[in-house]
Amino acid sequence: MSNPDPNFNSNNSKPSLLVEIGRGWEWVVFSVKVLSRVGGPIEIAKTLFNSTKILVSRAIKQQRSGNK
Amino acid sequence: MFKNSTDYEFTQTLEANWQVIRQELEQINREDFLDWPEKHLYGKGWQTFGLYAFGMKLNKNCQICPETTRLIEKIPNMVTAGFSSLLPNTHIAPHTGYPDGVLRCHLGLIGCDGCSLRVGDEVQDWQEGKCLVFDDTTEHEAWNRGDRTRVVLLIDFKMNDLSNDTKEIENASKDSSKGFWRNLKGLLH
Repeated sequence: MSNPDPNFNSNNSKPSLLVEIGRGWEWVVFSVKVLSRVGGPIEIAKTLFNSTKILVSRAIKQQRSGNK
Repeated sequence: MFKNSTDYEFTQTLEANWQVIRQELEQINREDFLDWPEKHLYGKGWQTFGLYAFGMKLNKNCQICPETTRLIEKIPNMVTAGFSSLLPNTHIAPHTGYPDGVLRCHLGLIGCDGCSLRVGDEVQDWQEGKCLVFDDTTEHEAWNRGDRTRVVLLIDFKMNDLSNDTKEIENASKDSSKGFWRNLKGLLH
């Protein structure tokens, strides 16, 4: 089976800051929904810390690959 | 790139119990699945039901799927697990995963016909009751051209296979000293 969209290239254009903020907001909404399935405040705090750490790491990696 | 799933012992346990997992999946309310937040990659049609999120247990969801939870908790270095559903005619655009050196396992459960996954240059189809293992940090994309919703059990686990890593280092060192250092650097990241 072939790629359904061979012309697709996610790196064609760099998203604007506003778009990035919108994408970040989607993660916040998702995280809040996930937190409702976790439990108490300590678990929630741990989750927020881990999510932030991962998102920052990913943003740095994508920034580096975008500069190549 | 895809990995050889038989290299990971837990995949055999998952495949042996895939129908138990599917029975629990079928008991989950549709409303308890959440849209995956990266909507710019797919538009609509990709949802997840998490059991573990980055090492954090989602207790309420795990209570709905006790046997599946028991099985995934035995997986070495498991960090994230849950069900991932893809509606017909959904295409997840090419993307790369998280930079913390995890491998991803998909156990096909429902609606695999017409669904495929590209990782790097290789395309494979899901099969019900079979695992696919791939490197999440390699660019990948997925699509559902079938007429049913595809659901897989998704597991992220940290790469911690010393024997394989050692082999890669040895192979690289045979090719050239530059290859050795490049490989070693990659393993340390």
